[in-house]
Amino acid sequence: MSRDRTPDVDCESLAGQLAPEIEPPADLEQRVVAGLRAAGALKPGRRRWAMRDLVAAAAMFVVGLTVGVYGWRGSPETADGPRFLFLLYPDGPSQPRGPGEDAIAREYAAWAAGLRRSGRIVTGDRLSRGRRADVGGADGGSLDSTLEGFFIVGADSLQEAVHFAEGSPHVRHGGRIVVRAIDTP
Amino acid sequence: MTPSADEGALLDAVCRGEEAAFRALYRRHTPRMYAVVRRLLGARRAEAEDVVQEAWLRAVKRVASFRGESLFSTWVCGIAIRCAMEAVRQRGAPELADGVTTGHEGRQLDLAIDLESAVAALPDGYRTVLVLHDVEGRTHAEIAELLEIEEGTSKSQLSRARQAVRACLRGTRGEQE
Repeated sequence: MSRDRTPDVDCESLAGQLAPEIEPPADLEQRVVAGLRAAGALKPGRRRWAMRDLVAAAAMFVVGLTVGVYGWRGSPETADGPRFLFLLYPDGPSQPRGPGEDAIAREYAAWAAGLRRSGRIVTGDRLSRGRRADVGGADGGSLDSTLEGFFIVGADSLQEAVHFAEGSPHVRHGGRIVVRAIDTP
Repeated sequence: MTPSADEGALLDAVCRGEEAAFRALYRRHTPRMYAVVRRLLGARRAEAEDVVQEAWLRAVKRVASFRGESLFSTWVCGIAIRCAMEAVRQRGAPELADGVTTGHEGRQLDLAIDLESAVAALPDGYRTVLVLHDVEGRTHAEIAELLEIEEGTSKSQLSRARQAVRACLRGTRGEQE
């Protein structure tokens, strides 16, 4: 605003001199949404993508509990602080499980045991390939069916979690791990 | 006035509690709500975020009753304005003064005062009418209904508010010289 405006400022044209909009603080949206959720006015689970994620997570959890081939599972909630979800994918299409699988399974078990001893692994398991179902979602899009297993690992930072993932036999054998931080309130 | 198809779909989705739709609505209308609330609160503008949050809470709870008789932006800003006025009243509005703005806020204006600061420094009653009329474009009839005052009161408050802003800006200019 200029300092040398005329003394008789035209207040009737204030509308043109003051911005009709002011950008609110960036975190306000999340606070408003949280308030509406708490009041029961919003249901985040009703978003289609959120529902699909929920179903996928639930399916993964159920299948993981029923398979337990590698015996990765540790004591629940053994890690304090930040936790990360490791999603294990093959490098390319899934290969048939064959005779060499037992040796690989032992490598996984040894790696998992090391992390478990240090209190890093919360839980983990391999997923069944055949027993799966896609539920919900009106667009017919399919979820990623190549997911082979998962871990929940405690780490101080994403960098440390990535370090753990890089040391896993899965990566060593050419597989890919997607590391996702678990959002905790 | 029927909402646009896009806005109507968003409102329907918000009625069903869909968060993504609400976020879209929030991003579309909050900058205007935030602007008017900040100006109405004047020196208490730090409370603007709480007021906007309360306004959205009320708006979402009542959105099913929105009939489209006005623009949704007008409707939701009206709720924000009422919330802001409640906040002003709860904390005790200063007495209206004739003529030039007075008080702590007025004395604190520095040489780089601008129109925004001059408006913020007005007594609450003046500022409210001036913001609603000159910035928000509300008519005196609408202001009278919103504030539960007579139309004549709205007009006189506006006239005095404009005088006060002029005097404030003149005074600042004089100090600079």
